[in-house]
Amino acid sequence: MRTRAQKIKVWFLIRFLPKLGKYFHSFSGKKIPNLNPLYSVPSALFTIILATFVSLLLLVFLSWVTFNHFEEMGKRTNDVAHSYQIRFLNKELIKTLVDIETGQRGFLLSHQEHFLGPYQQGLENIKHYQSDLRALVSDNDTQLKRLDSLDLFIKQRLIFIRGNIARAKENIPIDLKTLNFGKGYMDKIRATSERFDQQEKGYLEVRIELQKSADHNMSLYLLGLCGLALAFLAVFFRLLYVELSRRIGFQTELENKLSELERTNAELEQFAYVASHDLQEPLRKIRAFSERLQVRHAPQLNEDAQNSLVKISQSAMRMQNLINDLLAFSKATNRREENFEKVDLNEVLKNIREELSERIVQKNARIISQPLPEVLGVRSQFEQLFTNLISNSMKYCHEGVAPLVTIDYQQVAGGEIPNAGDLQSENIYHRITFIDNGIGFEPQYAEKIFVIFQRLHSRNEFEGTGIGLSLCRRIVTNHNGYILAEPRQGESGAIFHVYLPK
Amino acid sequence: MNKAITILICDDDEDDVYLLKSVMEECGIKNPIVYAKNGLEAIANLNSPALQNRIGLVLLDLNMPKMDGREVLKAVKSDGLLRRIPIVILTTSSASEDIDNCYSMGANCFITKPASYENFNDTVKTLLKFWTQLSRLPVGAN
Repeated sequence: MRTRAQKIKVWFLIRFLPKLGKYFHSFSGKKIPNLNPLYSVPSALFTIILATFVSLLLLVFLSWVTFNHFEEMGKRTNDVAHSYQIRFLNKELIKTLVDIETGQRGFLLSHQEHFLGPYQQGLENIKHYQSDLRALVSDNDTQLKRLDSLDLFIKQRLIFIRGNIARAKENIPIDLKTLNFGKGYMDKIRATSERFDQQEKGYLEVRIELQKSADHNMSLYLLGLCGLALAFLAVFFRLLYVELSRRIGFQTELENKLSELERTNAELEQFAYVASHDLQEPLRKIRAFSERLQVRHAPQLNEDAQNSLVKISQSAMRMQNLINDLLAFSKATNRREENFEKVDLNEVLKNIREELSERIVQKNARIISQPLPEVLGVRSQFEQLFTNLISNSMKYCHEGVAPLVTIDYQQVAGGEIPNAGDLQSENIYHRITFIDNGIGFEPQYAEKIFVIFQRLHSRNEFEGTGIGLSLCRRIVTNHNGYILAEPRQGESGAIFHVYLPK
Repeated sequence: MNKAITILICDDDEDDVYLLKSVMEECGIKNPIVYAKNGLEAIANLNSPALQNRIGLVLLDLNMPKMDGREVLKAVKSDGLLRRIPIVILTTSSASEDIDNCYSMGANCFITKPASYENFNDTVKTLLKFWTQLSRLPVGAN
């Protein structure tokens, strides 16, 4: 285990640390905020992944090392306990033998049976101790051999003791020679037991020493690992801190830019409004004065001059229309949702019918609508949308054919909207479809007609500024919706689909 | 017929004043006309002893330097002596808030400065008649 850990340590010191150092160096705090996203995003991600991975690895390693250590410590403790147990049993064995001798001696002196109590008990116990000891040293051949001779000596000794007691019972006097033999065996037993104990003591000392040094090494090792982990944590904390500060820097910068953008937008809106407003003033005068000329000085003007005046008036009029449309377009930038209210589109249509009534009568137009929904939005913008779509239908009509505008309504899932992407596929949309019997358009212009100032016809054919439909798209986009156009299949006319979120 | 009634035109734009004058001439309105270039002059004219009680119609532009039309309107309509003088607002603004605001402050008529002055004639003549129908001018005009 230790060698593997050492290998890891060496790898870490030689291979990994220098790389980390280089990497860390590239993150010096002075570079904040680095605004190059190509540089920051992958390296930041790498930092976080690396930090997490290394921390996890360290944690696993630490747990494994600690687990191993405890496992080994348990084993060593068991070994030490084992030695203690052997030594204890060895001593008990001798003690029991002494008990047996004492019992025999008492009986020899007194010839009374009750002195044989410890003798009987000792004979009983000594067998257990012998078998226990044998089991405990079963893995050690040297000790087993010692135990064999010890068992042999004990057997001999017990034979002498038994012989002595039998003789005493038959009142045969004890001869000194037998006693000496018995003592000789006892000395052998003591000597063997002592050797056995010395051996086991030696083992015990080695084991205790081993345990001590292992504990000491382990403490140092764990301390080192903890230090390393702390160092890692410090490094990663620094990395993450730097990264986070950079992020916060970006965020603040973004927020600032956003508010700046909002302000600029508001200024632009104001600018467009004021510009359009102030542009109207001289135009109005051009029209007023040329009209004065026409009214008051008609007799003095020849036909050419009168024609020129008419052209001046018409141009001024057209410019006024352009400015009005631009003004409407700039006003439609208002997309703040807090201004949204519930708008009944039936009511909107009713108002528009009234507003356009003159032209409707003049063109003999018909507008047929299904019941329309109530939606959230800006009322004036919806009025503008309906006005533009319906006026277009009345404008781009065939000569001599009464315009017919049919308005259909249906609820559809977002997934059914062409080109809307998958994001809105779950949402439900109101689909309001305007179908007319006008001149329609070629399918390839279905998108182009929504581009500002884009026109499909010359001014001689149809008057117009090229703002109307782009304004429609802007209004619908403001309301998080979609507007799409297509020509009618098989017959002349155009279809406009307006999708508004439910 | 309304020769005693003076019309006050209050507008800082000389072209507009010229246009108004020429339209009125054309329509045969021959009342004396007083001009004011801003609100302060208009108030001064309305209160001037020489002209007092003779001004019977004010044509008022909204956007003027120093004192604008709204302030003039407010001052006239809160003045016990002057409040009955009809005021026609003549302006380029067609914003509905402006129109509502002016009516709520007591304007009698709101005309968005047109390129042609077709309706203008009728309005001015109708408002001038207001005084003849009253049989006498207000406050001390005997």
